[in-house]
Amino acid sequence: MKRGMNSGRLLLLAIAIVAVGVFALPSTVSLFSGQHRWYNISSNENQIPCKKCHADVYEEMMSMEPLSKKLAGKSSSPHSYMDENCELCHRTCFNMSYNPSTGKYEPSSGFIYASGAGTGSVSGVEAHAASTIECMDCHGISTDSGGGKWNHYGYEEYNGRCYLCHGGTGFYRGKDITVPFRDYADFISAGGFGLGTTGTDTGEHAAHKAFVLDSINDTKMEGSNEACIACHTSIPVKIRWTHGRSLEFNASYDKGLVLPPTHFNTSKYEANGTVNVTSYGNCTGAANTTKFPEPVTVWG
Amino acid sequence: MKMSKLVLLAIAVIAIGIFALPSTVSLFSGQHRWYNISGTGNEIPCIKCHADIYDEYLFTGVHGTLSGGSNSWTIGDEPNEACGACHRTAYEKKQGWTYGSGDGVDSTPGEEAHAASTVACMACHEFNNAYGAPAAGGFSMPFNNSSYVDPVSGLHFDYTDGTHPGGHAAHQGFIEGAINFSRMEDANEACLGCHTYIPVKINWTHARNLEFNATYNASLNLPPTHFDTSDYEANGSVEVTSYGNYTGGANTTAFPTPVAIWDS
Repeated sequence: MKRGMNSGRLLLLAIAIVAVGVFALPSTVSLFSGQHRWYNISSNENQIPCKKCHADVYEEMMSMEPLSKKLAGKSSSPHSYMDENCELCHRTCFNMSYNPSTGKYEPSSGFIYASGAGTGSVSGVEAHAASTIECMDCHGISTDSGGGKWNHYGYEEYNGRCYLCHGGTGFYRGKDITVPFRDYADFISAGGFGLGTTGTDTGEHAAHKAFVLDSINDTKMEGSNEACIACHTSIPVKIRWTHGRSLEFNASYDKGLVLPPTHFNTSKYEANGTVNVTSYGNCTGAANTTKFPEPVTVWG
Repeated sequence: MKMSKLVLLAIAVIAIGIFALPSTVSLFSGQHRWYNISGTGNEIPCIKCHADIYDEYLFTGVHGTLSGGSNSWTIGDEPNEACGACHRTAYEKKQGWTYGSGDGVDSTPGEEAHAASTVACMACHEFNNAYGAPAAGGFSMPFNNSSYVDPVSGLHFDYTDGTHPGGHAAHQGFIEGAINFSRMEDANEACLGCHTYIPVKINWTHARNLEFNATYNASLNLPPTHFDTSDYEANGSVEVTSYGNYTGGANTTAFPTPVAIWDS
């Protein structure tokens, strides 16, 4: 009797497994859902949804300004409108390179990225979908007459999207918006370092010039990006400062000094000794010298 | 009483048998009508079993021409041709693999695979591919090794040629990680992650902060700057999870819905 019961259950189980298999197996042959539906990349501009993999980057971009403010065209940050336009930077046609012999940023040939589909498609040369970029690729441009080095308004990634950088009217998230006009010449130049970003860029008083030049020499990031993003983004920064400890100089009595009541000439100024102090700055810009203030990063 | 029940049961069984048995002698309808596979290429209707893949393909933006479509985003009338183009012809052309084909005396037994094989996207999209498909250029040779071999397929794929050296590809590490991972062939995880509608979840570990030394240097002749900076490091880590659904929707807490194309 017990054996009969077991046989019945076994049969039922077998039928259930077969039934499940009939319906389920064909769907599991393809490892992932959606892997046989490709994004249409037939246009020459980027059509891959970058944020599908880079939601963290997307949320950082979205957190810069409220969406309502952006849709009203009132965002003060040009980058905030690039939340869904990664290609403006990471597939840029601009390529500025620092020339150590001249001490200036100079135009180089832009990268060729993969684009299109089927016949007429372009294989990437230096990069496929995207490249790491140097902030100065855009912010180091000395001049762009349009018909010169980079006829960039005809570049597929930029065509019809002038407003994102220059201001004006454009199509953003399904509606036409107008953002304040920002001009065309020298409007985003990171001038003031003497790196040739404008015709009048002397940089002779730049407190951070060494920072920029050292960043260029450091290979952790491209070009001067370490310096750019340390100051301009929400990354926490820790700096081990070695300051001069004391100011030393001579003060010599000079009875002939004609600046009463001053009777001392000062000379031989020196900064002597060293003091080590560590500076911790968090994502909000808060700071102290013992540890990172909380929250340290934008992610808590 | 007991006898009458037995008779009733017997009648019922016979009645069912009259209608059902002729069909069930052959367990399934159609199982004795074979597809004609006398030609040289694939003649099996793959989509019969893979209707889910066919449904995905119906809305694809790429590979339409493989089924006879007039362009990449237009599907043609021969969807099974598209299946065969990737899952049979790609390796036939690249490596001379032999799949089962034909019937009777002229048939060819499959060798490396019978009806179909899994396939690396790069089988068609490498440089100098036999298909004439667009090369997925812009990457360097994986691992800087010009003779690297995909551990899953055991094949080498040309990620570069003389005029497409890469060197600045932001996703080079993605490609190499995908090659090392043996769930799919070669770098397919990376290819599919970007180019298809699969939802993607990535556990990102970012560097937490930038650290460097700023050291007073009396001789620095960049007035008024007196600090050399050095020893740049990216220290610590911050973990963030990125969820992207099939439409490209994204956030960092959960998959945006609908997650998969089959959820919509």
